[in-house]
Amino acid sequence: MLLASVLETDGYVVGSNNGPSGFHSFSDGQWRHAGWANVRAFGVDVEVGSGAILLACGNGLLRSTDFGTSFRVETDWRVTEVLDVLPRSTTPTATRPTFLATAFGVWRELQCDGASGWAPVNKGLASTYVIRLADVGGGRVLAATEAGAALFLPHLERWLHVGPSVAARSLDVTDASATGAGLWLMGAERGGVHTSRDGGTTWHRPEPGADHDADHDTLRRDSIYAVAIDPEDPTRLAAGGLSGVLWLSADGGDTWRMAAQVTAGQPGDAIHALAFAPEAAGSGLLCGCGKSGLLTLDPETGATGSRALEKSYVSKIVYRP
Amino acid sequence: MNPPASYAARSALLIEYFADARGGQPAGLIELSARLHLGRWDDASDQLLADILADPHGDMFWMIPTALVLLAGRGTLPEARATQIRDLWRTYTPYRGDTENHWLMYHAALYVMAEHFPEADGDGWFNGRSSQENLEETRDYIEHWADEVWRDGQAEFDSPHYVCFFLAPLALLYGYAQDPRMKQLAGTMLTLLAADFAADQHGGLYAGALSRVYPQPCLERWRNGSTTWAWLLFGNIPLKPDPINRVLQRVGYRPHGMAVILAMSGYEPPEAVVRLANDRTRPFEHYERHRTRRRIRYARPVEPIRKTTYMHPHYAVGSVQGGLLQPIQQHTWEVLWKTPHPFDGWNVFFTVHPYSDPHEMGMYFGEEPLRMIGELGASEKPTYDRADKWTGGSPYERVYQHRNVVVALYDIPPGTRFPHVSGYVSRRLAVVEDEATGWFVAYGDQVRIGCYPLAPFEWRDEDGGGLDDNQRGDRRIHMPHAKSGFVVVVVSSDEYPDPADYLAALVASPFETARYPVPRVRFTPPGGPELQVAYDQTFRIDGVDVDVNNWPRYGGDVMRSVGDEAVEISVEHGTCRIEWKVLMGEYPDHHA
Repeated sequence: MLLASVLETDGYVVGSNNGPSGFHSFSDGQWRHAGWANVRAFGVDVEVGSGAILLACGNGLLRSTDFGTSFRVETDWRVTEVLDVLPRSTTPTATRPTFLATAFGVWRELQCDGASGWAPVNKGLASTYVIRLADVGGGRVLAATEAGAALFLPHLERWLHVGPSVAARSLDVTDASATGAGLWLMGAERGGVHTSRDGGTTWHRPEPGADHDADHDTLRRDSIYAVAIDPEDPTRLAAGGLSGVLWLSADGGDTWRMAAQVTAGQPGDAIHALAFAPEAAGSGLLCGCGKSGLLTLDPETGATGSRALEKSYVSKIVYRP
Repeated sequence: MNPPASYAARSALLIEYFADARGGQPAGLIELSARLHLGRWDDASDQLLADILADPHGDMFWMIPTALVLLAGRGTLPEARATQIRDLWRTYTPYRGDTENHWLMYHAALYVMAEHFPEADGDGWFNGRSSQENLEETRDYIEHWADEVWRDGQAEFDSPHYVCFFLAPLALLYGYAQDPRMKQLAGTMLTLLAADFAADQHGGLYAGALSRVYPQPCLERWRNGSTTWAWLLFGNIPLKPDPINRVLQRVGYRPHGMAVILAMSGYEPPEAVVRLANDRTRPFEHYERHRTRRRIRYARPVEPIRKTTYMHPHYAVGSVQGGLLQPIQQHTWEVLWKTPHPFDGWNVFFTVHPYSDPHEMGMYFGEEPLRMIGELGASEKPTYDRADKWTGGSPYERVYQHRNVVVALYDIPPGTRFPHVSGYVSRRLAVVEDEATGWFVAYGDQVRIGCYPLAPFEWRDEDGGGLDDNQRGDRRIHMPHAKSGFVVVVVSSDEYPDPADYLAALVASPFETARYPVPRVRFTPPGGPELQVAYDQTFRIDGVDVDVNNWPRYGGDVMRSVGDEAVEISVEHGTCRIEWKVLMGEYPDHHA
């Protein structure tokens, strides 16, 4: 399943006759819009088990049980500017309710039933601006916040900041249950990429070295709005952001290279979403941009293949097998 | 069109005005609502409605008028059209928006619709929630908003453009809500906002500090939608609504036209509020406390805003304290004066630091700050990143006011994008200067504006732009210094018929100023107390610190808060008391 959220189309203004934003899915070789035509969607995901589509939007969490034909607003007026959604998960060792990242803090459903309502869960957060969430196993949640990465500890019911004090903008993690602590990959505003392999205790930032001086130096100063770990090969990583450059790593983040200038790098056409997607037609790496829409990229060279959803701001792309 | 004397007559006239589309504007949902209110319907109206409904868009600007057409049309609107509108509320998905005015419009419109169609389940509404869920949530939000405004003021306070989008949904609730408690809440809030507006306008024109204003209507204040609402509420300005909305060319977007909702609602302002708006025979001081727009990062989530207005028969001087209080469109302080005709325009004087930085974007918007300025350039706020802009707040501006005196100080750090301050000097003003001291007096109509610039500057001619492309003769003070400021003292021609005499009086006044390490002023205006302040420090009047920590929600000569219980309006020949318990439905409204 290949899904994308679109924040807005070119020239978007609340109250105007805007182009279709919101929920998009890929099937039969093309991307299609479904559901709300003018909602500002910052993130998308699928609820495991039910298969419901979850759309993180400015007007709350939208949920669809008919693959986007119709949506129900699950949250009320207290919840706004939802930037990401982490669907609930049930494993033999832990049950975790749905989490919402918002510009004003994190919300969590009270029960894993979708009917009990929502409550804020911000204890320990140094900043309530939270843009991305990731599941790191054991009921724990990793959040990208304005004050860096924060880890939610369910037994303490609070967040613990881990890693460098940066304005975190993007996250991806490997499946911790399969690979131990797993790999955590974080992008930052004017701060490049950071990786951790020990559950956030230590973080690594690519250093200038003999073979990577210029690239690493440039990467460290770039604002990285999107990161992705290849689910089939966690040594393959991708990152992109304000500069419009696609950064690739083949060694799990120790070294990176500047693969391609995907967009012009203007503030309006940054890279906002990346996903390794084996199903994608003609390519395995998808890239969402602020104006250039959704691009398929060669995962080795970064060369652009096909284009879709042009003049759209693609905020997130998810691949769910 | 001059206003009839009575509110009832103005209401009736406004409904007829829009029903007949007398302004020459293309008819839309506002015009159709007015016709339905009058019991009129014909084939042309029906076809117009069909055309509009065929292309639903506009989010909350669609919700308000379609709800109005449906509810005002009971008994007149053909059943097929009513059903069509009802069905569109199931299939069209309006966005909730992201500002205070968006949210009130969204929730008010959804409230009246859910109330009138109480039996629908989740399949019956665009948002998948049942009528009962929608009713409970919208009521909860509206009550929350009313309580928040009562206690802490508005984020989008005193906006000549956006006040329309608060009064319109309240009017919709007052006129069409079935629950008497909601109707009472709406009526009480209408009175509160009308009184707030009344105290802050001069002859129908919003005056003083504004939370949000567009650049051209800042200079031609009559263009704002608030003018039509003033005509209706107060009867103190002719009617001349822009055809659709020349501030923002967007079909369905009707800041002027939505005043007809108030006329249709049956609401009438208390006489004391109308007198407050109209009586400018004696000067008065007026204070308000509001709140910043909710901050996302870089600052405390919400901070109080301290607003001061000095209202004189010939002019108004108003300010807020400075800083970034509202994104992009803040108007921190000004002088506005009366002109021979209210539509003359160009009757303002103010200064601004043209601040442009991702920091402001990140403070108020959820997107990545670094990309937003480019986005604004392509949007309906293209002046944000311009060195010559006339609107916007700055973190490096502090403003202090005592009655008719404003001290605006600036301390701009190195590396700031635009390290200068601009002053707007209207074509309506001539200038006489004292080169020895630096004082000048800008004068015109019945106003005399004394000004002392703290740093060297140059005069620049403004030579173009604007809605009617007739902007010639304005001048700009360009002050390219990091540490600077202005002392401004306003009087009327009654006090100083000859500007040269006023200039001489200012030159003779005790006055000390310095720019380093921070700008500071010590000044005794003619006939006034000693004022002393340094940038970002305590303001002293005759040696007494101004208490900024206990700023009243409403205070001064004409409108005062009584704790959290009530707001009292007291003008000659009229008093009015607005009560929190009436707002929240604990008491009946004996004014209704």
